[in-house]
Amino acid sequence: MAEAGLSVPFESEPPPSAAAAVESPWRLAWRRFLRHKLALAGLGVLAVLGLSALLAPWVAPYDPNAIDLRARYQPPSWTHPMGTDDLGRDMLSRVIYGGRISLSIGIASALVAVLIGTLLGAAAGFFGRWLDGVIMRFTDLMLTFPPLLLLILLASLFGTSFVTIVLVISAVSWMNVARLVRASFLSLREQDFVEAARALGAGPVRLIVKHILPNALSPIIVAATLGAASAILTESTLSYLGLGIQPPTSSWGTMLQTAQAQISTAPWMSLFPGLMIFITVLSINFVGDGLRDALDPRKVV
Amino acid sequence: MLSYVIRRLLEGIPLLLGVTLIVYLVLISIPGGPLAAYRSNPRVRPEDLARLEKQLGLDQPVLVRYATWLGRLIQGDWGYSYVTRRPVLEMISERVKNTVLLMGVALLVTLAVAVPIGVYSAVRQYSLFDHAMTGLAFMGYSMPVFWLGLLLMLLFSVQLRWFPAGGMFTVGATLTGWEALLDRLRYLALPVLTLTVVSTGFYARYLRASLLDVIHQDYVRTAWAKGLAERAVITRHALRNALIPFVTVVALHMPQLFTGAVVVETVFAWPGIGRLFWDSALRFDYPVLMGVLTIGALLVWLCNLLADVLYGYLDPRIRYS
Repeated sequence: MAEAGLSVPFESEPPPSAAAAVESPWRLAWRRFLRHKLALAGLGVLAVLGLSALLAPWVAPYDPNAIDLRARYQPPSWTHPMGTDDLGRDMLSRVIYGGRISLSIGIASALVAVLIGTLLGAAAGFFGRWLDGVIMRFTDLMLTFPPLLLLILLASLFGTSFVTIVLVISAVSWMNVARLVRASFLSLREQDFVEAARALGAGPVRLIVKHILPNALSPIIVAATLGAASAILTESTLSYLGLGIQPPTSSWGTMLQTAQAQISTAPWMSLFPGLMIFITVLSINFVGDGLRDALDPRKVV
Repeated sequence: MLSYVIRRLLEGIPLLLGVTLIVYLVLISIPGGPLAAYRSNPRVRPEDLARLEKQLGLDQPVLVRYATWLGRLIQGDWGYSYVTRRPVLEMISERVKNTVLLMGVALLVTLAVAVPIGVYSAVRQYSLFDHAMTGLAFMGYSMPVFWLGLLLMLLFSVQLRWFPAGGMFTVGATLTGWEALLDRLRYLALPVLTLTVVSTGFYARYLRASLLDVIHQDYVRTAWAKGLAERAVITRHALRNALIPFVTVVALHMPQLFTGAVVVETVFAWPGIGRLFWDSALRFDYPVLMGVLTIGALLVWLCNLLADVLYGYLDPRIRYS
């Protein structure tokens, strides 16, 4: 216990205010997050979606690629809760397996984008001078391209495997993180605690990783969360436009691409995959909103 | 102000040079090179290919080729489509007016809906209406545009048969005057509705926030203290200042409308520039893709400039030096 070293030897219990002051900022943030009802609900929904994607082989009632031509275009029923598609495949099973692709592409793209943005932003903000100039001009340049157009072009150029799609999505979405990280680094590097660490002989890598980055983490976490939401939307748009992961492995967006032709005869084929994207993205956005409130140091509980 | 605009225009030159350089580097990194389309054609002999390479100057260093390419670009020679063999600029200019029509109508409708919602949410902050609008705005951000388009198509054209599911006018019908206009409006309805639903939330939330910023300021309290009616306080005093950041945000987001066009035009088969881009992507028609991308970047840059200039023009406190 921290109180053991206090100069008042007979103090038994610390006053409640002191206990609150000892609590780490992350626990405080977690307590604030717990109050955000919508964010909690979002987290719950995401947990269910994530688990069903992870455990897809055990959760899905059918093989997602099993073709049954006698059971084509079946509307939702007890045997096929989300109906069947143009090849008689069970939509529910396909939606569960599709979640694997959509969620993993979304999360991977957001992580890679945040990694690129943090590296470039940290380098620009910490070292300043010409490096800052070069990196930030490049960031401006990338922001000048309309993102979706650049995305379609890159996807059509580099193909549609899992890795290329993740790289293409993160290539067009790291810029805001870079700006954000640079801004926090610019203000943090002038602070006394950084000066103190420098005086103790810490090198640039140690200063960045151990001293500045932990203090710049909150906005990065929020950006990563919201980035996953927009990456899932982006992936679905790419797939809908025919530039996503190729069949038979289908993401939710790919399923919608094939569904449009049957919209008048089999509307459930369009309804359910889109609903999954919508629910997922909405939940992530709620979580991101909750995190933003919880991690904001200016907010007091 | 004029000198500021001139300086910004000059500053744009290196930026646009960078943009064209990136576009050019992508263009030459196409698998198989710029002659890929000819290389896969069995009727083109290797000696023809070599002649073509010399003719097009492909045997020269990259920077020389870039300079030549850029020179042509400035003179309006944007190359020829691999698929239709027509000049790229001609194909683009044909489609631009359709996109401008769709985007212009969508923006007007969006603003007509978003401004009253934003104002009312700010004036009645934390009311039931405000909370409901916050929820709807969240749903708007989280929805895939094309899925919303599909749902609206399902409801309004498949089920209710009110509006056509795609296209820009009734093919084969010879309509004039009001009938032609009505026909065009019927085809505009669903794409415009889709874009409106998706972006209204964002604009309404933004206006709400900027109105809340000014609504507690002293000059607004003074207006209340003078005994003005709520309507006058809000519209004549508060809204005027709240609109300054709002207008710049609208200007900044105009390129996004252009991007949104790709998806909506694809869903509703609207023959605009977005659909041209998508068709070209599926056919690997790179000269057209590069052309549209360059125009898009130009548009982003111009809108950024417009936003800054508008901001300085509307807000006398901002001084550019």
